Amino acid sequence: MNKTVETNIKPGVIDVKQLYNKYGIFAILIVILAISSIISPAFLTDTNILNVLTQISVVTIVACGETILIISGMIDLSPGSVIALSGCLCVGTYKSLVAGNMAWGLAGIISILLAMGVGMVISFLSSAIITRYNAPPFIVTLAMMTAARGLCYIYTGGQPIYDIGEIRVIGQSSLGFIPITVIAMILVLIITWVILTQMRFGRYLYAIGGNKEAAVASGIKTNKTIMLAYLTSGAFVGLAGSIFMARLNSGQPSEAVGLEFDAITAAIIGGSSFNGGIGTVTGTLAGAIIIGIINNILNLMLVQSYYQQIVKGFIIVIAVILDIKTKGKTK
Amino acid sequence: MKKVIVLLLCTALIIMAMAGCTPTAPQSSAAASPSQAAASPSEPAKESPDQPAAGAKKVAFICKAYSDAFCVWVKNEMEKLAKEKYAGEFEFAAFDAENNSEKQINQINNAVANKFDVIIFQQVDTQAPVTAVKDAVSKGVTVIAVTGHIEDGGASIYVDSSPEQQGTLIGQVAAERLAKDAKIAILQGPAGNPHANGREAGFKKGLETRKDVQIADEQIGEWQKEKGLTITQNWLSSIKDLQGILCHNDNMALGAYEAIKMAGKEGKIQIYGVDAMAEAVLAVKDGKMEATVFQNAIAFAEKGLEFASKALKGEKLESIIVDSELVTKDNVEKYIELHKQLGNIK
Repeated sequence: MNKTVETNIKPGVIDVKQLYNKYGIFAILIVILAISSIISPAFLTDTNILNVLTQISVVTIVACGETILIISGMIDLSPGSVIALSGCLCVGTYKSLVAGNMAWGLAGIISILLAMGVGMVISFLSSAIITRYNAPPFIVTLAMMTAARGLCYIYTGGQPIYDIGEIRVIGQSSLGFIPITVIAMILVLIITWVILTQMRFGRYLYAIGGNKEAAVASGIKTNKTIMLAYLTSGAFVGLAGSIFMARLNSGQPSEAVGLEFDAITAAIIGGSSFNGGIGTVTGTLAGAIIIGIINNILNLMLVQSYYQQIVKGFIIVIAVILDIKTKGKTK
Repeated sequence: MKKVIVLLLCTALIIMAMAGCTPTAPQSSAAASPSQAAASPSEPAKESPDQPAAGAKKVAFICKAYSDAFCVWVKNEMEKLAKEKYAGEFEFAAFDAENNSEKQINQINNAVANKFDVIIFQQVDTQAPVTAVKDAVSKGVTVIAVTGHIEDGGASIYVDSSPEQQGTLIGQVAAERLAKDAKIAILQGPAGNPHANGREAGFKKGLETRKDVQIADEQIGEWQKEKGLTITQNWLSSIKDLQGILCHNDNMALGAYEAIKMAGKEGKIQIYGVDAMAEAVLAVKDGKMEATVFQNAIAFAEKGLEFASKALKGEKLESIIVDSELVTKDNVEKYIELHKQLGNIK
């Protein structure tokens, strides 16, 4: 356990075991890419590649937050509901501000910041309860998941918010040929990478996840670190929510149910461990891309919905087993 | 220590038994109340055991899911009408089954235990609540199903629409409007859902006259806009010359529209939906959607309450089917007006 924690914290050192460790999931990714390109001519087209990237953006952003949390031994089950809540708040607020004659640029920024703020408030609440009462993160964030969904219905009255206006561009338009959702995803990936590899905060996360008692003993302020981790994740989720609803060109209170499971799956496939102390952002990205490709290729091949579920489950299990096997060699 | 615990448990059991509730009631009222508090702060009355005004009639409405925009539409209509027309006749309380059969069964049992005279509900499943409903009816409670019906051999009365009729309306208008040899795709509701199954059958029935139309693919969009969008995005990459998308509901149809718009293919692909939600009728007006079907949420609410009122007066009830109406550009103004009156369109 300690060995893996150390090698993850020193990215500059070229360690053969670490490379082999990392290659596991990327090898799987390349194999799936290759198979997909062969079985469907539509797969490797510009349009489709961009489609897949936009389709995975929201989940990947959330997965970055989950990676940070899982590394520190925590988890968050509320993102799906918080996406609905923050997303609806974002587009609803934007709509009201613009109706009140605010410039759409300013209104947009305020709305997105509001969404991120809401995400952070919810995470703050979760983390406060978790650290104060030493409560299991699973249960606390599960409760938050239900409460946030309820709040969203209250805010929207159960009906979708439509006619949201120009803010839809953050989910539907591109800067040049890169969709804005993808730009946001890349930004979040970079920020997560910086946190996990370049900052002391990141090292503390690995330490807490690896062995909490040892972390406390070595003077790390665990509660503060954990709360900061949740706040970061919350901000990511708020951003993801804004993009999610913008892409749909409406605020939909009943959508994004279960999205956190896709994000957690991406992180786990990508090598993060529920035991804590292990995980990388590149792995998570690979995991998210793998899931995105699987969804995409099954759709392109016109595979019937029921079979899609089975195939997806099967492929995910195989990816996880292979990853565990490649990791097992370093222990 | 063990003896003390056993003693305490026995005391607790005796107290619970003496509270005079049926075994299921204490648990379900505890389970139902927090979820009500979370999901519906706007409920006028609560289902606490100590209701005041003995003799006042009570009508319960168990909504299928507050998360389903159409079901909420019916609930809102009912609450409004109950206040305007029936305030003197009975008290009205709404509950959220959260699309969960078990919860709905508990709520039915609960309503019976709390002496509701009429239960109006939208079924989550056609088989699951049958026993609870039959039990309620045997205890003298009138049970009315709206927006659906259950397989209980006539124990409950229903005010229903026919998903197959809705589907056929769309199938027929698509048959008129699709080009020769058109390729279409279908976005479906959840597996096994009676509305989805009915509309699917209706689509195919309506399209019978057009043997040249091919269905290139069908995928389950789970009523969700996001899934409709993503599936359509992928279809646009893999199906050449897609010319029409028929959807079991408006949400998925609107999602399909967003995908088509983002791909720059507006106007090249016909989109059909069902529900006549506010956003959809506006889309029909703007030509973004070809047609949708109005499931008469208002009639459901009106008839539901009317039947409740009749039942309380001892009149006999007969189940009815409310027809759904096709909405196209020709008659869309009427529905836009309707939504404006309802406050859905500002």
